[in-house]
Amino acid sequence: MTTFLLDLKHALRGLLRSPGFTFLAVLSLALGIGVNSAIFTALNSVLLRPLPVNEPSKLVRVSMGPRDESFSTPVFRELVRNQSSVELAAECFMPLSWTQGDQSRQITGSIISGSYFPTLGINPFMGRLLGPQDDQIPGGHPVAVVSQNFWKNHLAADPAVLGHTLTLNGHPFTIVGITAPSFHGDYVGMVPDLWVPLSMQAQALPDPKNNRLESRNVQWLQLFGRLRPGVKRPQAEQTLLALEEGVLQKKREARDGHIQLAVMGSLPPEILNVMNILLPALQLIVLMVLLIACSNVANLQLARAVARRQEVAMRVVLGASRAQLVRQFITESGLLSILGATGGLALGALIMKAVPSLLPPAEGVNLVFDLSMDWRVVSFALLLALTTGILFGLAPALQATRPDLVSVLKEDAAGLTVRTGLTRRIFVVAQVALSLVLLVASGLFLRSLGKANSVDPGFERSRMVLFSVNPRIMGYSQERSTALFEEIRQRAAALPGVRSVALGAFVPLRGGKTTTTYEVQGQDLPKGAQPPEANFNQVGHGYFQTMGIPVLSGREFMDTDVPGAPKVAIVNATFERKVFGGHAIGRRLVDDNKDPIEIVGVVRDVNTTSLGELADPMLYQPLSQNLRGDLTVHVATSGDPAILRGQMRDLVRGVDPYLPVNELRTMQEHLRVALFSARIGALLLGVFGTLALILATTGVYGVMAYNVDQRKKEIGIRMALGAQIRDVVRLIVSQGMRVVFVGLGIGLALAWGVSRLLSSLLFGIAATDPLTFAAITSLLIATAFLACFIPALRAARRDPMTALRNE
Amino acid sequence: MAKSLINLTGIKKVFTTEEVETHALSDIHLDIKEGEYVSIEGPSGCGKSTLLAILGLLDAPSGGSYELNGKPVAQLTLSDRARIRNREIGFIFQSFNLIGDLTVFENVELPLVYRGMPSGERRTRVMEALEEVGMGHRAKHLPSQLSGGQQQRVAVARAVGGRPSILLADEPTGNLDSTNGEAVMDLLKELHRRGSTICMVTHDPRFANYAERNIHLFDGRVIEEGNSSRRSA
Ligand SMILES: Nc1ncnc2c1ncn2[C@@H]1O[C@H](COP(=O)(O)OP(=O)(O)OP(=O)(O)O)[C@@H](O)[C@H]1O
Ligand SMILES: [Mg+2]
Repeated sequence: MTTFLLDLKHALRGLLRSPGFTFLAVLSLALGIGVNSAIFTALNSVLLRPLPVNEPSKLVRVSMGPRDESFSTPVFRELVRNQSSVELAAECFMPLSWTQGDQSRQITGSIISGSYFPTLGINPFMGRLLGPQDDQIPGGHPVAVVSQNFWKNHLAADPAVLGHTLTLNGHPFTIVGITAPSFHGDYVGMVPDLWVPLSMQAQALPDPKNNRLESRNVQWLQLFGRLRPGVKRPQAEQTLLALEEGVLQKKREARDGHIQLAVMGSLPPEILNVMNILLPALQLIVLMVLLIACSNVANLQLARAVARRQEVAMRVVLGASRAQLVRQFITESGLLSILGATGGLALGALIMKAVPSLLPPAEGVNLVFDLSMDWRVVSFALLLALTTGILFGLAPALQATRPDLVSVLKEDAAGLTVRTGLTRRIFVVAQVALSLVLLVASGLFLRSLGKANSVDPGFERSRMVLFSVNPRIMGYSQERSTALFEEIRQRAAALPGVRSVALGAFVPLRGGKTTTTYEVQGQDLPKGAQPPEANFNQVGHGYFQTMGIPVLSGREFMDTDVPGAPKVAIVNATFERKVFGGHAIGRRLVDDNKDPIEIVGVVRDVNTTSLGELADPMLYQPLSQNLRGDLTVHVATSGDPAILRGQMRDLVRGVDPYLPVNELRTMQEHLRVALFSARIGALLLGVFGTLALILATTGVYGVMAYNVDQRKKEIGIRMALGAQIRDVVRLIVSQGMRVVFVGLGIGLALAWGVSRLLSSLLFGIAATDPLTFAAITSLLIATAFLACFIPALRAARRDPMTALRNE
Repeated sequence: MAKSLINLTGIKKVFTTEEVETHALSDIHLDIKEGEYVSIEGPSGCGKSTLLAILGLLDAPSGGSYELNGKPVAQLTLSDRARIRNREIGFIFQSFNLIGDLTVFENVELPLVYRGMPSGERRTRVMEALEEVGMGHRAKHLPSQLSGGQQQRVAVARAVGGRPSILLADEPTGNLDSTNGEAVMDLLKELHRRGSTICMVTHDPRFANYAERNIHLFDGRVIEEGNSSRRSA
């Protein structure tokens, strides 16, 4: 048997001999590694994993710089025709109206060039995918490929759907294929429900103003490509750049971007930016949990090392080299780590099963992530386990393998004490501090969530129904759109139980921010300065009354604010105060053409991006003077809004049967979505914080139990000399709590710093909310006290004579 | 004339604790030849264990020179000392010091593992040593399943299994009743008869008589060297 196997055998036996230690250590590690592999699974599938297509590394996304990612159809066609270093494909996401019987709903489609699927190089699950033959005659190829998810969720996973038709935007399309379960589109996480050929643009994405298949003026296609064999990315980029001037038919100014090729296989940039911050941040938090778990294991190991000091010393006497001993210790902690990693992966898989139910309800976008664990996740967990095993096995190993050998001769165990007290106390301090930070953070989120219902957002939150309609997808012209919304508005207002109805572009607290730049008449900007920004909304007449937002001075928008009439705007109180420092009514802003816009009203501030926020300046413009395609209908009700909600679909169907109704919900339901980030924050931090608390409590308990065990002789002597149980308990508990308080002090300082970072995510409470800090601190004190008290009591209750004899 | 195995000249050991200097050993000269059986006696605190620790390379002297098998060993690194200890020295302690997690066989095997001996050879050596102390039939037992006397026999087997140059024993009978104590002393005597060099610390004059040469320590110095046969005469 090799020495390694022998080490392994001894380690295994040692672990089995102390099942309590092994259980606690493996549990700690499994919890720590479990949450880490869960977060890493998310990070992996969102940020790291390549697209599940043929040779994903050869795919490139084509753009004109970071902010200019769209191309017109003729430019796309010419780029395809005039070079041979990259095979190009085009696509565009769009909303589609899908009609089934008398129900229409909005789904997400992708309109694609015939080269799309061949370029990706994937195979269908059933039927066929779209190809160049579907991209020939405009309007001549009414075919669609549906996604695996759409097929499962909306077509009952019926294999017979091939050859059936779907009514999309009122036109029949034949289903010719279904994509494979592993294919989630070419953007990670964003899967269209179906794909239709570019030739069907007029039906799928009607545009009354432009002929998108011919016009160079509409840039609407996103391009990507596959490098042909032997071509490298810079080379292909050069080829495309050389075509730029001729194909784009204009000399681009210096500040415009040039054609760029980027590696593909990631999220759209807006989402990527968020994920790039969110997921690593979460990963950091869970690494903190792992750190707590590891210091637990290290502490347990130290305790064991002390218990084994006689044995270790004896091994040294028998000629074990330090390296041999350290290896033995490391083998043992490595074994623990592997066990912990196995448990952790199982736990991580369980957590990931629960994740889809936590995602926010997103209508219109299909967020689908492949959250399965692959070799990356497994290696990540193993790497974590081994690193922590070695790092946290090393400290005890190094401490334990330097015993005072002469003491073995003296038959005196006291002399063999491995000096681990300080290290162990540092571990406890760190654990207490870290769990305090996590618990305070989750406490703040919970408190702010509790406050959410009592925060006044500045508008009516209970008796209100919202829904939005996008007539543009059915090819409505601007004039028809206006008439349609007026029709919907009047029909809704006529319903019993409706107080008033108004139109608006953006619902406050929908997550995200809409801003506009403005210019005050007569105040010229210094040259080169950026114009100031304000929050922005476009609303119809009666909006403020419907939303219950008081008009503080001046008036609401009225029917008379029409395109020909003088341009008008309304501002909020903060705008009036900050921009004009006094009365705003009658003051003027100017638009891009320097035409004056008169301020006719001032309204109260409302929360726009987060509940309880400090208001920013906000500018409202009348819809009638600034036409839009999609709008939200705001319906104020006199009774329960849920009753009226059910009638809205019928109402819209009465106006246009093909028009889908989107985001139909009461204002309360809307706000729940708005609170999603707070909820998920409270949930995750709550889970992690509780884990940290459990781990830290076990840590404190372990140290205390070990301490009293070490001192059982001393305790026995004290008891024999007449000390009362309570004297002994007080002595031990006070020593333990001293360490805990040091940890609490450091933790409070850290938590105070961290909470400031969180303040933008909280509402209704200060980031340094004294109640949260006090409650969490007391909670920690109470658990730590118990963790000290129980072993102390047990030690004091022991018959002093057994402790004394026991040497 | 047998060759000298251990040669101490002017060995000193000073412990310094909280500004108190304890001169545990002062100016020790000692020569132990191959095949000798030496006992060290003296009152409590006179430095017996300290001397044994230095002989066994568990501790380094504060001064003087120490030659083991003709090589100076007083100022070696920790790992060199561990290596020499493993090959040249066998220890027997008052409280046996068997490792509770390991079986009898594995306890005896341990020094050979540290030496890096192949497992086949280890097995033969271990069984030989266990037979020698009459514990071959208990190889699979754990120390806790043995009596004190049996544990000490296993400890002796562990000490001789590596065929060291010298056996060092610190009060090997201290934790045993007189019957078991005598059995262990008989075992050592048998080992000596077969050629082992032994150096033993003991309080008990009865057991000191098993040795052929007695060294008396007092206050860190050798005050008398005698021959037990002459003493008992
Ligand atoms: N680590 C140490 N630090 C300080 N002084 C020590 C240390 N070890 C031993 N001494 C001192 O050295 C002297 C000799 O101790 P040693 O253990 O060698 O005595 P001993 O002869 O073995 O006694 P006993 O028969 O009681 O075992 C004693 O005075 C003791 O106090
Ligand atoms: Mg002694």
